[in-house]
Amino acid sequence: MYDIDALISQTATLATPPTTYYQLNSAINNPNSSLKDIGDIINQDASLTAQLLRIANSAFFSFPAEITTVAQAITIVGIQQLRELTLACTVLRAFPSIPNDDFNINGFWQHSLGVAVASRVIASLRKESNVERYYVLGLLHDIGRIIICLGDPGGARKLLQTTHQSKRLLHETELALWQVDHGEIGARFLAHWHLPPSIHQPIHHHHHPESAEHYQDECATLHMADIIAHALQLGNSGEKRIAPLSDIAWQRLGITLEQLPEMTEQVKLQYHESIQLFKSTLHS
Amino acid sequence: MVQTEHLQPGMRLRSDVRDGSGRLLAKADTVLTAQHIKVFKTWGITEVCINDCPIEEEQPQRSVTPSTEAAIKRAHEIADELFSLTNLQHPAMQQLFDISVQHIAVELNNGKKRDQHV
Repeated sequence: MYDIDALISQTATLATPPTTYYQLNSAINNPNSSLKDIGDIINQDASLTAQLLRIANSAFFSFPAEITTVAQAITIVGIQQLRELTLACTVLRAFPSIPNDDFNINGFWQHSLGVAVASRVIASLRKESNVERYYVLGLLHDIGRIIICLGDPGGARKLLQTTHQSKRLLHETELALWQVDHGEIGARFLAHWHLPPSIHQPIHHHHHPESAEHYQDECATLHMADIIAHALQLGNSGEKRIAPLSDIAWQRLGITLEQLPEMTEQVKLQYHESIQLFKSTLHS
Repeated sequence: MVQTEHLQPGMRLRSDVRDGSGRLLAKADTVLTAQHIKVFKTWGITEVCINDCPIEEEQPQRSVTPSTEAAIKRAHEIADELFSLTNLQHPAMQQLFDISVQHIAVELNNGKKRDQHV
């Protein structure tokens, strides 16, 4: 059995926890805090502020006038969605670049952004209220892969070699080698970071959505979004082949076959926008 | 303004088309294809602003630019490998396979395709 706790504490020393997100979360949950308090938390972090303003001014939100302050962004984007975007921005810069020929961190984040926009597109189509929550789920869904590469480079190399030889999917090899897959490892890491179950549980089960007891819609969305991002070859997760689609997840989403071509067009459009927005954060 | 149900391929958009939450679906000056019109219907767009006359002389741009046979053949090979462990008997996966082949062929033709999945 893999010592996940050791792996996570090893990696936790290398990654920066999303402190601004914690502060924002407790301010939002505190009935005594004002919009100004919330704005002040974001304003403390200059690079986060710049990034959030770029997002608020992007074509995605398409506000007719330029948004120049965090206070305006809160009004336009909404507090909940701004909190999710804060998590997205801070996580993208939380991990060090990995000096490993087997792992392309840029390709990894590009894949994660692909799954993030695909999740958001699916959530929009299903008329979910807070679609940025789905964006964050997509961005974080494969975080377990980074944890493995950072905390256990030898294990990561063995995983790739075994997968190439066996013609299996990466998460199947992980289960065969360690009895745990990157979904569970990522979820345990995010729980260690005190992120809520609504985030780490769907990530835990994204390769086997039929076993999710809670957050089944989120889990099914991630599962489908991962398949779409692979089919469009957005970024490079390290996985070279597409996993089978869970029919339970497909039925749950209620998407029709006729909607798939439009959805994938929308994913491509939003993917290129997301890549532009985060270009400065991605390592070159 | 023209109601979505009366749109015809070849019409040119006067202004950007966005969905209810402001997401860009098509830019101004886009010459509409059947695909665009389907997208508008899917995203609940009821009417859009169109330049007065349909553009006769310009062929509507197809969503998949004509690809060389070689690119399609290569795209098929890449997609065959990509989908080799999935359940292609599922109708959604069959459709995603076709979408994937078209997408990869276009990328190959545009020279955008990197050899990222070797």
